[in-house]
Amino acid sequence: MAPRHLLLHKVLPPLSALCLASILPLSALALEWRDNLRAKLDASSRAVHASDLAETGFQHAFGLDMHKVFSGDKGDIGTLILQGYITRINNMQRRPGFFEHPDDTEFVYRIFNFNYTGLGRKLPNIRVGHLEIPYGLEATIPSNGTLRQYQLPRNIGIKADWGFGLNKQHTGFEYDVSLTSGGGQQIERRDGSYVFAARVGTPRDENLSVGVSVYKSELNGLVRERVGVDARYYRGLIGWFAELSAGENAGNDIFNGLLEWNRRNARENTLLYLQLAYFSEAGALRETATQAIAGIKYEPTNSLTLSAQAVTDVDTYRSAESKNTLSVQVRYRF
Amino acid sequence: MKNIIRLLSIYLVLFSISESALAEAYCALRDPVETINRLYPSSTSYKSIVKVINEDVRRTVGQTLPPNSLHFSELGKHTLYVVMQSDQPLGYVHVRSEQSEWGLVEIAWAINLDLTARDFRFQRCRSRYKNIVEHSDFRTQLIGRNYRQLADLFIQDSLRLDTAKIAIDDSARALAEVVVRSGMKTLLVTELGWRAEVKQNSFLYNAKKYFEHVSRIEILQSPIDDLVIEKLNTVFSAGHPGTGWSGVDAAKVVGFDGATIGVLYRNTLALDNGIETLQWTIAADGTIVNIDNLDGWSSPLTRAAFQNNLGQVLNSVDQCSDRAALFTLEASTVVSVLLEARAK
Repeated sequence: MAPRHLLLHKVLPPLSALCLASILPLSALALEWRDNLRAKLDASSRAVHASDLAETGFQHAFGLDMHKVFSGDKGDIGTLILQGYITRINNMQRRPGFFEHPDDTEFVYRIFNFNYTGLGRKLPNIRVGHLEIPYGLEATIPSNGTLRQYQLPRNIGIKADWGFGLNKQHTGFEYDVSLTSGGGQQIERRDGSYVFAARVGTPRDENLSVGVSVYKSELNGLVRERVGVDARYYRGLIGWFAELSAGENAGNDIFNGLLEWNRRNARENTLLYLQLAYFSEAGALRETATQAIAGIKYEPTNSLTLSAQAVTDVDTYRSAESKNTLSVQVRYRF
Repeated sequence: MKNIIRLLSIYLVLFSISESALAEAYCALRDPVETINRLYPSSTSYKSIVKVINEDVRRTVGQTLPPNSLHFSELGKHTLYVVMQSDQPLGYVHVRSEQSEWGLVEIAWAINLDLTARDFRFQRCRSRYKNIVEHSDFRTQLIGRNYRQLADLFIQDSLRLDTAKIAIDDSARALAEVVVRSGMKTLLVTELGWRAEVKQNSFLYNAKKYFEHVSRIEILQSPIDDLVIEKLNTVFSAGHPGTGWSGVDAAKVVGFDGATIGVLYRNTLALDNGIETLQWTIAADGTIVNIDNLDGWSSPLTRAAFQNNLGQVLNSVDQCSDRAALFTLEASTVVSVLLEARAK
């Protein structure tokens, strides 16, 4: 893609919106806008080396992470989260679908939505925008921009999407339901795509929390259905997470699972985790794949995060080749 | 190699303009809605107030509450939740974290508008003794205590709870100590970090405690002016009781009909336990309605001396038989000028 086209059509429009949001403090609404506003620039670089590829791939992201709570006389009205990142990949052979080439630049929306919370204690909050799909463990763990992930794209085909949802924390349980376009980074539906997801769980602050999720989508002509259960248990500095999903991909039976063991230090600036991910699909034949993942995240300061992760294919679907992948990332927020 | 060097250079520049930040993205922030609902069952909503907890607050906490300084992840922007019932504040919820051998313990404190502990709940606690400390047998021992009264629960000059003053199972004592220290720190940080909001709500809370039909309060800016000094010099012609003016705060109490009901007047005095903040509640006709020690009375005798003045209207040194009455006369004199001057 020509640099001029890229600049005009991909980078400038969203960047202008973010800049507008940033310069609002200079306007007459300055004081009100600054109230309850958090904003940080967020820069990260990641190197990914896969054993089956000759060259290392890189991903650099630079963006604004903004969080603003709107309040009225009687309480909070809603929360606006804007996270937009100019993301450059170099030689990234395995990449999300919205990157067209191994060397590409895109403006990537992460979480970019408004959650209206002004309906009182009982009625749901209404979220509109680019939101995280409420399914399984991923919905309860902040994994945005980190190496540590919970296999959501591989399991259900998408991680975040444009649309709307209802959510609420009640005493003893919380829920999150969303209906989105299936466009991923694009607001428009693609060939009748849609994504419906819902998760109900016990409060995630407890040492033991469990959730049940349901999911149905049509993405690129493939219909997926899932029912999932997830659980998190903490004891001292150790955590155990588990997720099981069952369902169908275009009529083929699917059974996926994930188990994580993690340990933090007492200061909680270092996290070590081990994951075992299992995938199974029964078409004409039953195929299974297993991945073992080990990772570490270290935060030497409040601003800096260093992470590394190794992924090994223990077992793959027949058509796929086993590989080992090593990723390292440095992330800085200021 | 060139790419790596270029990257390292960019990050070095970024590090050099570092300030405190949150390592996790802001989408990880969640309001403690369930906790607010549990701590304030009658609440209808809550209002977030985000403020910067900076190095100044950190330094003050470190000096006031050694060795309990704020760890660096506690700096930056933090939220105080004002819990509302319709459009009236009920109290606050402030979540703070403490380092412990079980990792970070995150405690949501419910705080009354007069900055006393109302209750608490663990937002996150990976200790096996969590249930003992969160049981009502322990929690009720902390309810209603202000900063100083929480500090009194420790053996003097130590970080150990005095089991003669507070009952706790020996196995859970270390976690209980983390909780009480967290309570002290939370009250202190709330006062330092949200000073204006706390002052406003504290005056409103006290106004409603002592007057009926309160519509609102109006903070009186710079209450001590030339007029006040002139009047004080007249009333105390033979000598002033010796209070300073740096700790003075005052608020006018307004009724639903728009009329002034009274004034709340605060000043700091050197009493039994060092510098303490007293609050005089004075009706519009000059009657002394109440006198509170906002730090808690440490001596019943001192309390009695001040409360002897309740129900009186003081306007002359001749009516004063002790220092407590002289201090109260001073408060009455200031309030009388404020009512006259600000009514014009």
